[in-house]
Amino acid sequence: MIKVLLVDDHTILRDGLKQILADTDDIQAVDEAADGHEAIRKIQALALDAVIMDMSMPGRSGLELLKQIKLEKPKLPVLILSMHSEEQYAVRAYRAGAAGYLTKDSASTLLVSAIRKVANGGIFISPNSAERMAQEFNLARQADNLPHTSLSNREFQVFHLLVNGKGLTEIANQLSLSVKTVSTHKTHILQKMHMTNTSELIRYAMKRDLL
Amino acid sequence: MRVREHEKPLSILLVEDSANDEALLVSILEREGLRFTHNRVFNAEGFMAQLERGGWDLVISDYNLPAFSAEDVLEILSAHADDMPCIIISGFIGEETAVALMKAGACDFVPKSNLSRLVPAIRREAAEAAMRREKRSIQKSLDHKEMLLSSIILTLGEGLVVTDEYGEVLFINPEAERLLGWRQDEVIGRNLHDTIHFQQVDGSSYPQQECLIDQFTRQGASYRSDNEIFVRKDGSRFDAACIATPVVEEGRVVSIITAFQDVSLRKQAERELLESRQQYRALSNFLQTVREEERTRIARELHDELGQALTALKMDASWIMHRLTEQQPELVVKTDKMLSLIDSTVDSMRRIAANLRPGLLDDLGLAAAAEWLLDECRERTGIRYVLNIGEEDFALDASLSTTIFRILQEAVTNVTRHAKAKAIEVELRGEGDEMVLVVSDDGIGFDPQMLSIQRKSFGLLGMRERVKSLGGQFELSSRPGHGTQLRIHLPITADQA
Repeated sequence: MIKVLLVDDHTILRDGLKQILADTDDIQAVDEAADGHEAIRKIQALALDAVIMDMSMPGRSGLELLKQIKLEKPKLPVLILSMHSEEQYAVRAYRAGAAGYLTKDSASTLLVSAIRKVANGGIFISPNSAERMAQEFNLARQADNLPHTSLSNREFQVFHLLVNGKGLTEIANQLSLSVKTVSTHKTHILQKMHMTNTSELIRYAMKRDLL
Repeated sequence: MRVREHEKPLSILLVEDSANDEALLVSILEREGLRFTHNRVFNAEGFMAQLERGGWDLVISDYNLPAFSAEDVLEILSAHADDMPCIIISGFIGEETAVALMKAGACDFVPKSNLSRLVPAIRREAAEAAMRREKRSIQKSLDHKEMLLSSIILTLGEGLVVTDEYGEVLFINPEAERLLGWRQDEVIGRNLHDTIHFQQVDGSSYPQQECLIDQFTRQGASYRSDNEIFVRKDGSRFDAACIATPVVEEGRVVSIITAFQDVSLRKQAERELLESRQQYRALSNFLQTVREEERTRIARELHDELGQALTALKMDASWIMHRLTEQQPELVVKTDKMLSLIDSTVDSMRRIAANLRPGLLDDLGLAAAAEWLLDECRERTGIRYVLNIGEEDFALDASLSTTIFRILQEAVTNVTRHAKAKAIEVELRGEGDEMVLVVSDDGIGFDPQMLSIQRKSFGLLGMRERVKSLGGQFELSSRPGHGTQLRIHLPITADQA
């Protein structure tokens, strides 16, 4: 069982996160904190596998809190949740020691896999952040590392239709699948590619001439 | 001497009743070689008529006239032809009569018994009269000039004060009396500096030794200033513009002429203009600050309130999606659309908030915000960028980072709108106690002199004003075909506006 602490000053958000985690068998939100002090206290007191925290916290900046957590428990993975979609936030979070960075609107699709990844000592990173980090360290990305290469054939078909602006029903008709199945494929595509929504998929596809 | 007078024939008016005597006289004068023309009159009417006609150099009158006397001749002369020399010729007259005649204006008295004296007397009198005429004419011209000068001084719309070499007042003109409230007779002999010029701008007194007018003029140089304080008799003061000029004679300053004007109104207008400019800047700064605060607050609320609510909504919609089955395709499609709508709403919210004020600026600082801005620009327009940042982050106060960010934003907007550039280079670094921002592009450039004429570039004006109000420097250089460079220096310790 992966034991996580939820740190966010918005109750409504914490409730939403708990609801997502409640659907899993292997992740348990053992406690929650509404500010940095409470978070530090609970991190010191509890046995945790990961911390999920908001980047913007009242009182002190999320980055400061992140640095302090890494000081207290260097090995405890911290997954950053944020309203901010700008890469600059993500890059700075990674630099400050975050194991992952997620925008809040992608939590419903990506949170679970992100927690599993970081709890196992991995780094959860979106393709855009990965690219930026790679640029920063002057690394050439391998073509076979590109996220869409991890899709199954069926998933790639669905991906291709999605990025060409087709709706669920159209795709279902074209591929003779149920809409529910297409929706599930869509969720898997987003999870595998570490992306939040269809428009992000479209931007990715445009950038790599996959339309 | 007076050779020329002799060259010209003398016009002689002869008062003589006897034609014989006339002939005698003429023959004597001709014998002596006098060149002359003459006319003879024998009564008062004829005499006056000739005088009226004019052109006479000399009158020769017989003393014994039946019609009228030499006394009458002299009287008429003194009344009608001042300074016309008159020589009296007579037989025997007594000493007393002679004296009386001389007193009455006769120049000389020649007895008939000694007419050989006549021509030398004529020559002498004619020469003397000519000399007197010349003197009179010089005097007249001098008088005229002096009158002109004094009426200039009297009517001059500028105060005029003349002092001696020690600074004591010798003369002031009416305009100076009007401006200073002193009458000339009250102020003559007083020290000019101590009387009207002892105050400095701040109201404190200072001695004549420190007075620049004094220092300049003492060395023979003029002193010109439009920034003096003059004090009136009643103690009130006014702003004066003055020119003090030394009068030098034989290498020595003998007096000083100071001309001055009351420029209080102009100075007042200047002060008001300056003040209103400062107020305008303060107001503009205040409005910018208020606007920035307002934007920050709205952007934050969008993120914190709307953002969290939308996120929770998406979580719920996803939760429902998970629970839908193969048998509910319509609900699946509907929910998928809801999720898409929430996604696009979140995107709009982010865009609106970032346009109001990028959260990065407050959360991560200027360097990150600059990077984001250029990323966005490249995404939107395809313009490449190079960003050189001195350090990871600058310890700047919020107002200064906001200013620099907004200037950068305006500059980048200008590049994308007008420059047709392929690349932007941005340099941001701390240099001593200054921040330096340089934005260059490789675009079409422009003629900076045309900019102000072509269109009202309020963006640029705003940038310039903002930089000035923070005590910085603003430099825009460009040339058609050679790109544009904007260079800004801002003091880090600037007062927050």
